[in-house]
Amino acid sequence: MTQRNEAPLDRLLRDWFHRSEEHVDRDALAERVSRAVQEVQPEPDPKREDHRRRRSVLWTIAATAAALLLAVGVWLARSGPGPATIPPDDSPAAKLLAELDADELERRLALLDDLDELFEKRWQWLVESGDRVDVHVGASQQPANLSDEVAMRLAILVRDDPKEPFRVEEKTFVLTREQEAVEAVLKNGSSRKLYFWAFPIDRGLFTYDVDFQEAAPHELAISASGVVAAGRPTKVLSFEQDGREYRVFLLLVSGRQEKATNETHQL
Amino acid sequence: MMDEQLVANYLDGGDQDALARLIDRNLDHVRRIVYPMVLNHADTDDVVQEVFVRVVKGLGSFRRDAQFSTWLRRVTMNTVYRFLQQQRRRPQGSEMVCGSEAPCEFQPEQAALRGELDEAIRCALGELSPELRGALVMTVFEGVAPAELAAIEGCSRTTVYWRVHRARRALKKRLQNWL
Repeated sequence: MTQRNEAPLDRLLRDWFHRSEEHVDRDALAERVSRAVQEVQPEPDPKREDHRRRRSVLWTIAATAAALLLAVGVWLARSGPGPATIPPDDSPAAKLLAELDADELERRLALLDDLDELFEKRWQWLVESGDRVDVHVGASQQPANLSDEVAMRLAILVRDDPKEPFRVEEKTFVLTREQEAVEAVLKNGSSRKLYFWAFPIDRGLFTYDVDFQEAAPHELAISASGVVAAGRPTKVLSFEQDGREYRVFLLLVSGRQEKATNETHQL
Repeated sequence: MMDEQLVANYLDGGDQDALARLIDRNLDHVRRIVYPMVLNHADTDDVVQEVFVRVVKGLGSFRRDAQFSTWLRRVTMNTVYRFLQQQRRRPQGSEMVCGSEAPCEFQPEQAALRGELDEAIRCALGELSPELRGALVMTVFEGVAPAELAAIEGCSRTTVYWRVHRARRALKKRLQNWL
């Protein structure tokens, strides 16, 4: 991971750490730690204890489990490969987003041809937030073997009162290419920033990394990474801050799927 | 003797010397992860102590066929993240603030430039999110491979690459005058 041009930074950091250690009393720390651990005993592994307790029960239900596994195996064999590993979110908020976004996202993939034509395939990403659209264009024409496009919708839902329904506070649309890192300032003065990156892994799944920061009207810093199934709104974060409840949803659609569908239609 | 053997000697025979050796040989590793994460010597000592208390408590669940170093790093990072989370919840004024610690670490005769650089590095690291800082610290200070870091952090290897890339980019920008 360390490349030649990263060596000065690494050296700077390591030197800084060594300087910071100059006045550290290691012996005092070692003694303190030794004292602290003397009062501690290893705790039994709760998983193993639990396992022992349940062993007899497990034997009893083993036959049932085997039958169930067989049934699942048959079902999987019939259903074939697909993005079936992550269950859909059935919450009202997710349904709201699904209605808003699934078709809309796919329609926006139609922008791809226009972008290619307008920017001679030099565009790297497009971000739309509110009434602002940013397109990042590279200095030179992209190589022929470009990675596939991916469309993303980030939605932040909020409510001030638990009795109220969630409302959509922020919806950001991103069109980019797999593995392309998007780094967008969504408002002048750097008050709203978005980082996004996605990479396809297998069976319609994407690993993703998204950061969203907003300074006003409410200070917000969201950071999430993980795996989502393409085409399904997924709740990636749920938290409370300053008396407000937040839900963060992510929806990814692969451009490759859309293009494949179009080709099928032409045939 | 390998760390794993020391663990076995302690767990199976109650060998306190084995535990002492295990702690002594890993103390610097843990400190090397904790300090760049919490950026404060007093908190570092507290967190390091907490890490080893958790290690001893958790040894019962340590899989003997696993690598102790990976397990220790995972415990360390979890303890650090928990500490940083608690720190964020504390009332304003008790959080780590740039400039709050560095002056007491340097003697007056030390070069002002070096003090300025050290403070800039501390602030730059402090501005990174814990996840980005963690990825950078583990790779730069501990030389952890992306695959191992992905296992420690419970994320994909590509996410590790991405975090390190972003952390480096942010630091290069912030510290460009010294690079």
